[in-house]
Amino acid sequence: MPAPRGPLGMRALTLVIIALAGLVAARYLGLDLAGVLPRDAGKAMAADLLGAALHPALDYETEVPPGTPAFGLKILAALWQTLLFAAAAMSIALPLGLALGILASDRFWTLRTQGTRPPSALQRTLQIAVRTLIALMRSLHELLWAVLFLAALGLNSAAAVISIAIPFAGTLAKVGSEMIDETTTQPPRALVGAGARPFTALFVGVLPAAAPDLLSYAFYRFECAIRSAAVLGFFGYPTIGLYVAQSFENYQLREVWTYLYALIALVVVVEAWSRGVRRRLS
Amino acid sequence: MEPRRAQEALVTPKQASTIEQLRASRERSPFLVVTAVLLFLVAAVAWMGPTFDLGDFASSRRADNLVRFLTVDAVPPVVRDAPSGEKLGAAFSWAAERLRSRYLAAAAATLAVAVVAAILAALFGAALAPFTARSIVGEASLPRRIVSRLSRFVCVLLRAIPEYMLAFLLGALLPSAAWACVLALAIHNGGILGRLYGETLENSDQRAAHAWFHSGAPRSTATVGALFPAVLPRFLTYFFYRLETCVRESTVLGMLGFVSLGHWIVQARAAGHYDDMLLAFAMGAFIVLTADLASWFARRAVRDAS
Amino acid sequence: MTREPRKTDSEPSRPPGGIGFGLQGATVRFSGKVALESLDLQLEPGAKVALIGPSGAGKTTLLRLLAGTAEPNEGDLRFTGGLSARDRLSCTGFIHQDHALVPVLRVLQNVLAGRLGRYGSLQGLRSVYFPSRESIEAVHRTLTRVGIGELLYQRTDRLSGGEQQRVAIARALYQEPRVLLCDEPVASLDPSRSRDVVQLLIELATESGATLVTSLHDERLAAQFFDRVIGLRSGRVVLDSTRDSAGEHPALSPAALEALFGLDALPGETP
Repeated sequence: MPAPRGPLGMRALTLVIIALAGLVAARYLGLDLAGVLPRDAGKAMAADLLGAALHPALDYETEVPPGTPAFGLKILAALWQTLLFAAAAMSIALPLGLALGILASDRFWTLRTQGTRPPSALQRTLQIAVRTLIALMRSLHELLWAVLFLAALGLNSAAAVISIAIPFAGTLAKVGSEMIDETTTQPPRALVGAGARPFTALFVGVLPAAAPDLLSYAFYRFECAIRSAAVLGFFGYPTIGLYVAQSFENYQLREVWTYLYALIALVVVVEAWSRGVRRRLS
Repeated sequence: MEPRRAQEALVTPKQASTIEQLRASRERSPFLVVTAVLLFLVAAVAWMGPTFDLGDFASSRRADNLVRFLTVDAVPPVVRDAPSGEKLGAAFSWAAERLRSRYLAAAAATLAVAVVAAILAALFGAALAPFTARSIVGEASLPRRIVSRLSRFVCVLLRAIPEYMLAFLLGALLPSAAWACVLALAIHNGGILGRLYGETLENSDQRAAHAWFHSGAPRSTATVGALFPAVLPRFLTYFFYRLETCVRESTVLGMLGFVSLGHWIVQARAAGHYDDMLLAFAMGAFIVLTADLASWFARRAVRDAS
Repeated sequence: MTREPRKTDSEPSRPPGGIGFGLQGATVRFSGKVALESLDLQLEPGAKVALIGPSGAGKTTLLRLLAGTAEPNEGDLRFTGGLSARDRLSCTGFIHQDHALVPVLRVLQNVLAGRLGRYGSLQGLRSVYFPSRESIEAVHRTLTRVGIGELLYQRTDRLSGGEQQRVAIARALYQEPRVLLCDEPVASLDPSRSRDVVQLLIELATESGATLVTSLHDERLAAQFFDRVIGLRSGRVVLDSTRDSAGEHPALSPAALEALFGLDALPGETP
């Protein structure tokens, strides 16, 4: 290549390309700095919303029909539903993602041959097929899967859970296969060299070594699943997003903030828990 | 960490402990066990409780819906009406017309939102990084640790609200729907990058920055002048990972009203034009896969250059 | 992850005694580069052999050839005992230079993994993750034999390098090997600990009658402990010394060692 290949040159080039892409994109969208600030009606609403942030509702803002559960209970129930959707989605995504991740990894296909021979054409084809499947699962956002299932099946909670589980399994598989390929080759090779079956060598020599990273990442994805489950409320499912949208439409901004704070608290707790898990796994 | 035994076994003969004693004193983590049990229980409750009606999911009504969706709704009328030999050609010209009139522009807008948002998030994250790092250019004092703890907490708060919800709220306030989408993505991903960039700074080779600092440069100058260039490859790698996520998210933010792919998806769904909707999905999947591929090449180029 | 041990299942015991090897014109090439060139070598069952020579001489390749994890491209490798390919693997203990232990598992699991060659897939998994009472006791005895019995339930990545090496030795020993192969077992140890480890390997091999072949970078250690010392250079045997009746290695003369390790190129060798 005739161009100078100094590391700084390459990095500077990358930065310039990113900056240019940003400018072109901003022009295409017609972004100007004035658009960042609320105007007219937005101004009043922004003031209301910011004011409400300081005084979140501790009870319903307006009269509710008799028989409505207490405000606190309603919030707890909404959080619990959000958690249930996320946990159910992860309970599908984790085993599916792990299985696909193993099949997509290079390590799995070279266990038997010990890296002395490249995998056969059939094995290569299978691996590429799995990788393609993973890419397709990931290529649609979970909300698009949800819309697709809504259109194809109608409103159904199990379909909502599956719509989160599909892209999450894909992402776990992609990241998981990278983590599996980052483990050291020597232990499984030593086990196969001592006569162990490749399948056993995988479960004794490879997966335990990848397990701490895999579990840490799975926990982070659980946090993401909670957020996705919350958003599903916007599509009519009984998670916390439903109540954010409803309260906002009724202009009960203080209630909106209470729901948002509840969601933030849930995420903060899960994040702290996840930190504890990561520390103990390392 | 277990206390390391002072000497190795060969030198000092160890007294024989029984297997039970060794087993009882083994390293265990009740926290992890409790976590696993709790998560398992929540998942079990989710599946066995009343939340998910699996009977309804597998019911014949759902199956009928699915069959009708696949055979009737998902097929464009022009294709259905075309004579059997010309169905493929009709589908092709239908798709080409839709792409030209709507989806190419929508895909470009979707990508543009993601690119601007990822750049803003990276700038935001880089600005937060010196605060979230636990130690920087030799300083790991108590105030530093407090600042780091607090700013990390801020990062968690920034990422706690989903992008879609943020865009929903901002969309009601801001005159520009594009800005609402961009800001929502930038805030959420800025929080994630602030944390990751901070960790990169504290794990980086800080010797050059130390040299600057000891020869009289202020700490901030040493950080920006000597530390940032050293960590640039890592920063770029994380940037491209987040860009992938932004493109994925950006495909749905249009559902809130901004004219990008999501907008056409909502329109098509509202009108019952599921053929249009599926084509928009395909376009979304295409730009997500393209962005993943481009990001993969970019990350490899950055890695090979450093 | 350790569960309550179960009390059933008896493990098959091995026929004792070492395996002998015969190499005729064995040549091994890796991607065009010759690692071993037309090697002729006889190893008696139960022999205690040290391989010495400069790095890149083909010591590791020879060990892998004996272990059955590499095949000669040309020539012939015979071994006594009439074993199937898998049986041969399962009764070959290999102590790797980097120990090749699974970091996250406990010492118990790492040692149990030594016998995976005897089981099918699922049975093997059970033998490691749900071991019987007898196998736990057998592992403990093995660990005690190499001096680290109290580390039974430790996580392997919490151990020092020396301790990890003993776990690797215990795993090979737990296999009840008829051939024990070691790749530079003392490369990272200080002199006194090196002697201890080599002595231990010799003792263990002698107790079971196993054939012991180990590569060493220290020819004095080799001469002190091994009956037979083989020098490899550029994939060929340039020195083969057997201990005489006085317990000395007369063939390991300074001149011979100079020829083995020296910087002067041998005839026919590209410098």
